[in-house]
Amino acid sequence: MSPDDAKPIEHNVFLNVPFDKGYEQLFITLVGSLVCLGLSPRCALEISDVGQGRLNKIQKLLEECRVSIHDLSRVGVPVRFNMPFELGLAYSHYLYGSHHDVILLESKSHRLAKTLSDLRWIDPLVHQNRCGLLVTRVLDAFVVEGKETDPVRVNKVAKRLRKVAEQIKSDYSIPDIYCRSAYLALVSGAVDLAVEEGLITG
Amino acid sequence: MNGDKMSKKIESKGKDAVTEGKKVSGNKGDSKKKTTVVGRCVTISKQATGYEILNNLKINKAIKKAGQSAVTKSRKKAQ
Repeated sequence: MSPDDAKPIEHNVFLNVPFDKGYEQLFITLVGSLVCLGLSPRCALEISDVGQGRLNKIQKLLEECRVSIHDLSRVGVPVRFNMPFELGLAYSHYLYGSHHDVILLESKSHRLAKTLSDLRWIDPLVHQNRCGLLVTRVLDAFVVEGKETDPVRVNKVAKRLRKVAEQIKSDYSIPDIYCRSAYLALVSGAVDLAVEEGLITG
Repeated sequence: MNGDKMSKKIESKGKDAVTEGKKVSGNKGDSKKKTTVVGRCVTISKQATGYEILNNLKINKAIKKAGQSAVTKSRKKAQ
């Protein structure tokens, strides 16, 4: 697969984050914040395949994204290698691809220097598992030319989106938001809220 | 007026960060080709519209309705 074949879409942001119950509120906040910035959050939840087909699709999805966000805060037991592995895939795009940006998230300061010393020269955005702080970090990470995004309004959207997520889970009778249809409904809800708040145009 | 000044300030911060990103990438001969940033702020030239976001994710009408319905129901509950 030649890197020249890749056609990243500027607004696409790949999310490589833990899909677990403890991360759900942060995940919803991350999706809401990106939509408020006029960005399309993309992630493996969109892919229904398993096995090798899934990995190929993740690779393809990464190629379509100009930016990827990797949360490396899950370092406990059971050990999860998916996130560092996908970071490796994204980093190869950064090194050999045409145009790809990598953003790292962590919940604790200075820990990444120990857990991933190869990338100790990169400062991760530390969110301390707090939704409000995550919004600020995401807004710090992206600059939309000619536009200033108000963190208070983004926080308002994120807060409302967390309630919308509860409703989606109830409507779909699912324990968490980590399934394809619920995730897409969540993005759709985020778009509605961001348009209503005047942060993006319909 | 004040907002404009702030906006320009943020824009210039973004450009500086991109420049720094080039230095960090550091590979000989790559600096002209790459505008890639790692771990620093990313500049986006234009926001996507809501329609573009939904289109990028290939969100169909049924899913869109489900999202809208959840927004409406959660709003009613909050009231």
